[in-house]
Formats: sequence, structure tokens, C-alpha cells
Amino acid sequence: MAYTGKILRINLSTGKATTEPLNERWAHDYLGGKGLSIKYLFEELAPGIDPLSPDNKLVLMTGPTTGTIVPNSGKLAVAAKSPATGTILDCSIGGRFAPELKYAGYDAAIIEGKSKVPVYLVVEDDKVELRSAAKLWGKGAHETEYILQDILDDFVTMVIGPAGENLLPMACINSELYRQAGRGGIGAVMGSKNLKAVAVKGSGGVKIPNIRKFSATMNKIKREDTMTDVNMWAYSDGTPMIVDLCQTTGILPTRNFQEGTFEQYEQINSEAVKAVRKAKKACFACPLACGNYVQKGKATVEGPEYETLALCSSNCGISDLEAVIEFNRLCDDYGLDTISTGNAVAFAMEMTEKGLHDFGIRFGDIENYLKMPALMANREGVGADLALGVRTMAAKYGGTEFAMAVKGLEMPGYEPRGSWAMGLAYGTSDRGACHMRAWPVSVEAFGDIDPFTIESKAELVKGMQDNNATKFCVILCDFWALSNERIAEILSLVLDRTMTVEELARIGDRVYNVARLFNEREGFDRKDDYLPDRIFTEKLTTGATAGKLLPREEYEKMLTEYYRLRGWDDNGKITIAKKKELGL
Amino acid sequence: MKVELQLQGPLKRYNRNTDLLTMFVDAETCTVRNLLEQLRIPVASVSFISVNDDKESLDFIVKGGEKIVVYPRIAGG
Repeated sequence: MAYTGKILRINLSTGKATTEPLNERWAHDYLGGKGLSIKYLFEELAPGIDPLSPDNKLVLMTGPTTGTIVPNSGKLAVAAKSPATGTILDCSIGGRFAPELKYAGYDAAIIEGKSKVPVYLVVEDDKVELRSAAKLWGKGAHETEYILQDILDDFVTMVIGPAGENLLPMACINSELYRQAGRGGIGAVMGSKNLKAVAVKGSGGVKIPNIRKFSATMNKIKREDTMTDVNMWAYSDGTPMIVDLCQTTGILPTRNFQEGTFEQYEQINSEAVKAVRKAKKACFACPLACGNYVQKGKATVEGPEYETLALCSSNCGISDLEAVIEFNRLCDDYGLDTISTGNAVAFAMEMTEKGLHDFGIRFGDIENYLKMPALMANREGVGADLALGVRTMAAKYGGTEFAMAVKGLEMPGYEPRGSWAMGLAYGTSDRGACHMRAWPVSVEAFGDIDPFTIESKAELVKGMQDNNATKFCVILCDFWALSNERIAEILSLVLDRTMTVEELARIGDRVYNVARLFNEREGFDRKDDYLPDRIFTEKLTTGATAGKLLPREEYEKMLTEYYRLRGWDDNGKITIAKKKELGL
Repeated sequence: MKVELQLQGPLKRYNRNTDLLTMFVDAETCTVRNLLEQLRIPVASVSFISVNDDKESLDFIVKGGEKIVVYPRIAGG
């Protein structure tokens, strides 16, 4: 009922668009969003393909709640094989693109092949058109969206910047200027297909079985379960709130993860950001409006989010908020993921300071720091090296032990030596180091669970990963703290069948396993589930985490226990029994 | 004896949208949990508290003169 039942498939090599029925059995087993996009890719991509070749596919997937008034349901899953890691990759992007795609009549769009020349895709209900992007190619993401706004009437767009065109492993996809499908080089997949932008506009709607009951329940949920203390941090502060929590608990990455506290944190924390805040912004159907429009000096951006503050500020030793805001704006315009970009810059700074290779930039060097986004996106000067990502930079120049990445994906803003379960979450994330697959810092560093023990951590991480996988199938925003009981209640109304928490748990487990199976098929196993040596061998020296590291032998035990709970063997391979249990 | 409390993020609404307040306490018997109760801040809304920049339990007994920061619960990252 909540599905349109239709998939739009666009082959850029032939220029043809077709529609086909949604695979209902897969929709039943994987719901939508993350799970369903991964299932389609698992079935349709041949093992070993080059992620930047025409063989890769870009899946834009909605979920069963998309386009409805379910709170925080405005997200879209964007998935492909990752050029950064070679793993499966699913990102989520907020804004209004997802509901618009559904109103146009599609649960998903699958984009395959490669156009001979730069194009952009325009979808208006059943009218699908490829237009020349010759005049857009080379332009920044912001200018591209402004131009498309002038050409098209009230469409929602997703675009890439020069970083995507130049196939950077940290290239992202932008929408509404400042919303990103950020990680794993998803923008490079779009660039490799010569696809500059996708624009969509729909005139349809979504059918809900019992609209009166649904509407009353959603209003009740919004009142009782959304506009509450546990969620209102998103409105009052947004993610910059996390700076103070990480500083106090010693997990704020500083100077390429050499420390867990930043002496000038008060210049980049939520109070500092709020002092220059001009307005708030929300995604479709979101009452929480976490977005902050800020302006300081000549710099303006929607942001900076916590991840940008951590990786591009403290991790680069930059405390000037105006510089960080400008860096954020440049990354957004060039189409760069700020997590990976901040890591690459910080790695170059440490390499230079240690005398291992002179990238011409040191911690706190604002002048050169602000040059990096352009140099990287255009692969010019030292930017050509930074554009490789920290794993490849380390392979070329050394410093592997402090190249802060897992499976080639740079680490987000939480120091694993102060949150051991976070380390396990990074290690076992399906797309490389990621904070959105599980976020155990909320109960370890920020909660009552001892962060410096492995006891019960494997169970904690598995549970969080399964819950988040389900949430991203529905597809709901990570910032809404809600129980599986609540998700089951919502889905029962939307799908017109009884959804139970047990079924949701099975779906989460199934999704995590099909992602693992995809990666296993690409040759990934236990050897790829480790953190950089720095985490295992170097003690932090300041704040609440002074003297702490994550002992390698403890990590090994945690990993083995995690595999056991997952039903995988000691090498991290899914057992036959587990595959049978989940119908894989 | 008095202590200084700083409420972060949405918790400020429990103090007329102001982050800083001074509270008078009975030293050696009053815990941070008691202070939160006085302000009617639900424990479920709190991630953790710090006393003079160190993370402490809600059962920390105040002695007077401390700076206590109350951090809100946060979902996602």
C-alpha cells in the first residue's frame, strides 16, 4: 500500500528509461531504503566489478514511510559499490528528494551504464528525459543547483561538484545546497556515469490504508515521542551539541587522532555555533529541524555539523570558527565529504610535522587549510595526493599506523580509545569506519556503561547495528530516538499488515548479513575488520582518556565474540546455517 | 553551601531557557540527582553530568563550590 509498486530504471549507455514492478518479495523481506537497495545491488552487480565503471549501478531508494507525515521520514537511501572501499555502500540524504521521487510514482530509481557525454536526468511523473549537462560540467554544486532552479520549475535536485566529476573517493552528492549523501565516494559513482544531476518532480501521492487512524496516531506520536527532551537537542542545538560531550569524555579527535581533547573546544562548540546562527532548517516531515544556517564574517553555510567540527576543526588543529565555516562551504560546493576530507588534511599535517613527507601544511595553518578543498577536488598540487584518501596516501608515503581509516573509509569524530564498542562498530561497519551503523558512545562515553571494557560490547554493537539497519530501511532519520515497538506500530499502519518487533529484528539481521555477503563476495573477511595501529598501540595523554588505548588482544576477543553472535565463523564469514536461517 | 549548575541544550527549558544557575545545597547529603529532582529534570533526559570537568555519577555528593554541567541525552551522531 505504502509502495508505488514501480521502479524506474535508466540506462545511461543507451539513453533509455523503463519501468518495472517492485519486487514485492524483496520489499517484504527488506522493507526499503538501505536494505532493499543493497538487495538489488547484491542481485544485480557481478562480483569484482570496477566501482567507477559502467557496470556499477546507482540506486536511489525510498522507504514505506516516504512521502507520508511520519516524523523524520524524509530520507533517501543512495547506494552503489563504493569506489573508496570496494564494499557495499549505502548513504542517506535528507531534504525533499525522497518524497518527490515517490510522488513522481517510483519507489526507486536505478541508474546504470555510462553516458557518452555529461548529462542530467529530469523525472517528472512518467516523463523521463536526459538533457545535456555540457554547460553544467565543471561547475560547483551550489551554482549547478541554482542554474537548475532557473531552468526547471519547482524540481528537487541532487547534484555533484567537481570532486564527483574528478572521481574522488571522498566525493559526495548534494541536495538543497547543504544536504549530502556523503560517504564512500558515492558522488564519484555519479561522476563516472557522466551524470551531473538528477531532478525530480511528482504530482502524485501515497496511499495509506486507514488515513483517519494513521493521521491521529502520527499526531499522538509526534506529541509524545518526537517533541521530547530526548530529541529536542536537535532543534535547540543540532549536532554541534556533541562537541562538549566528546571533549568532557575525552573522545574529540584532535590533531589526527593524536589526542581526545582540544584545548580550544569552546571556540567550536554549540554555544559558539549558536552565537552565529541565523536560521534553522528541517527536512521533509521533520519537526526537529536540526539544520543551522550560520554566518561569521564573510563565511556562511548550513552547518557545520559535529562531524565537520571534529574532523575539520579539532582534528586539523583549527580553532577559528570562521575558517571552519568557510572550509565547510568549500567542501559542500566542491562536493567533498567533510569527514574524509578533514582526515586527509589532518593526515597530511601530521606527515609534514613528523618530517615523513612535506605536504606544505601543518596543524593550525589556516591559509593552506582553506586552499585544500579546491586543490583536492581538482586534483591539483598537493591536493592530487590528498584526493587519494588516507589509505592510499599512506601506501605512497608511509604513516600507515596513523592513517585513520577502516577498509579505506576515514574515521568519523569519535575516538575509539575512549569508547571501545565504537572501535568494534567502526571495524564491523559494512561500509568502513562509520558512526551511523552503531553509535555506542551514547551509552559508553556518554552513558553508564564502562567504555574501557569489552564485556557485553559485541552484543551491544550487534543490537545497535540491527536496529539502525531497520531504521534506515523504513527509512527514518537517525536523530529520532524511537523504539522498535514504535517502528512496528507505524509500519503496521502504513503497510496494512501486522509488523512485530521480532520481524523487525529479523529484518535488521538480514540486512546486515546481505551487506556482509556482498563484501564477502568481494574478498573481505576478518583481516579487513581492524582499526589503525594508533588505536591499539598509542596511549592518549589528555583529559578523561589520558593513558588509554584499546588493547589489540581485547579487540580480538570482542571481534570473535561479535562473529559468534552474528552466526559467522572466526574468519568473519557467514556460516551456511546463518544463510539458511535468513534465507540468503 | 552553593554550587553552580550549567544546563546544556534543551535542558535549559527547566531553568527559564537560561543555562547557568546557582543552587544552595546541604553539603554532604545532597547528590546531583537531588539537584535534578529539585529542578524537575527527568533523569531519562540526561546523558551524564560532569563535576569540575570530570564525568561523575548522578549519585555524586556535592561539597559546595563545584561547577556541575548537565548534558542532555542525544540520539544519532
